[in-house]
Amino acid sequence: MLDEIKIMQFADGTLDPSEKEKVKKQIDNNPEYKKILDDYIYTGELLNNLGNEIKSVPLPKYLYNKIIQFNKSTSKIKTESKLSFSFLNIFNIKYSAIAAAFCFVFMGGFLTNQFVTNQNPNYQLAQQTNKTYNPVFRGSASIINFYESFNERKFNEEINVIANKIKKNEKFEISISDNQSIKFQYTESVKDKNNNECIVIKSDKKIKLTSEGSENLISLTICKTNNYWSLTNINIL
Amino acid sequence: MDQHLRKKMSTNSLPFNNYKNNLDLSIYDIINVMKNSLNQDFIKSLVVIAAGISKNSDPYELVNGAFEYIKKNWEKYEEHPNLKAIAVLKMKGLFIDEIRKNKNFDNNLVNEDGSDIEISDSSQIDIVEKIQISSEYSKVLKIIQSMGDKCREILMLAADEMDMKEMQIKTGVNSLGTVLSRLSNCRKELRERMLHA
Repeated sequence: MLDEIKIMQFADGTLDPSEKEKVKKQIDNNPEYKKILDDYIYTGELLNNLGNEIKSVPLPKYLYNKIIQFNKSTSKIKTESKLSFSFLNIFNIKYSAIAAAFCFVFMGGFLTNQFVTNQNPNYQLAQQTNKTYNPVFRGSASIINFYESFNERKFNEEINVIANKIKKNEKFEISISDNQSIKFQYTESVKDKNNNECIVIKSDKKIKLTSEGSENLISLTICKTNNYWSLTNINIL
Repeated sequence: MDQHLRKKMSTNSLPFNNYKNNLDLSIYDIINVMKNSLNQDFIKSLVVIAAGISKNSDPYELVNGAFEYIKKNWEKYEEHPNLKAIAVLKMKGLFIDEIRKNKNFDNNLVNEDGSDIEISDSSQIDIVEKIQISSEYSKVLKIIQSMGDKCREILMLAADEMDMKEMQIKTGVNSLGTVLSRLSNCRKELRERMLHA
């Protein structure tokens, strides 16, 4: 004897696949079961259509207006909180030199020599702001050594002279400190989240980053804002 | 009428109740969280369920009450895995409150053995008239409205394309088997009533 619930589940397509064949055979061999199956299919479609019919009726105006108003207010709250979150995430080295050093030491305790974990430049850039002089980087204590000696002003001055001229894969030399110049290669052209033009350059050889002698390749991202190229991202590879 | 309905329904390719029994609860919860939003679709879905909860009271009022409650407590419920369950529970509560108010009930509405007692409302609002659907489906809704509370509720949950697990949560029934047998019996009853309508 076949359980009617099984027939209902078969009609709704919710029966365990392992039981389907067995139930189908029993239904096929018994006209009474076939009739029950037809009835379940009928009520299933009837209820489905009734639900769709009710859903197709426009909501009363008072309810509709409430929904619109509610969704407007919640999306506004979300946007505001998102904005404030982004603002707090801006790492402005110019105004927070001490805080920056603190963060570097703190992060150094947790992370490896990777400055940015995700190597996708689009992902990295999406997290940056449009302002100049606010490079984004994450990493170990070695960044302190690198950034301490890194002359950002000089670098930016020089990169502005050559950035518009260089072509992809071209190599060039640029100052990274008062007395050190290294060779970089223009490897990639990307856009930041504000659709600003950016280029990614990689050092062609490993650079000594710590006094202990650890050496790494460096990748820098430079973006053009208001016709001025500036460093936005430092990666240690 | 049967044949006419069948003809119309055969043009509808939507499968009935795309049950998700085989899904893991975690995935199921994630889907529900993603669905969490007080948009029109959500509210219209509540209207279908409200038509099963209220017998003679305005389903839109129940939905409005549930909406107001969730809106007021949005911070608490925004990420709730089953916002619809909260809304259904609230609508049930509002419906019972309304009946208590009308009948001056001051005790609970459960029999000594713990089973639900039949609730009827004296305010006599015609739900079918309130929800302006086609005459064919008005008849179906009228028939469902004339059925017992449990059938009315489970059939309208099924009309909202709810899966068994959700039905179990929303009806407060202990086992999935009970939900299945209740739905099966109510659908048989609906079929019978449709034949004699």
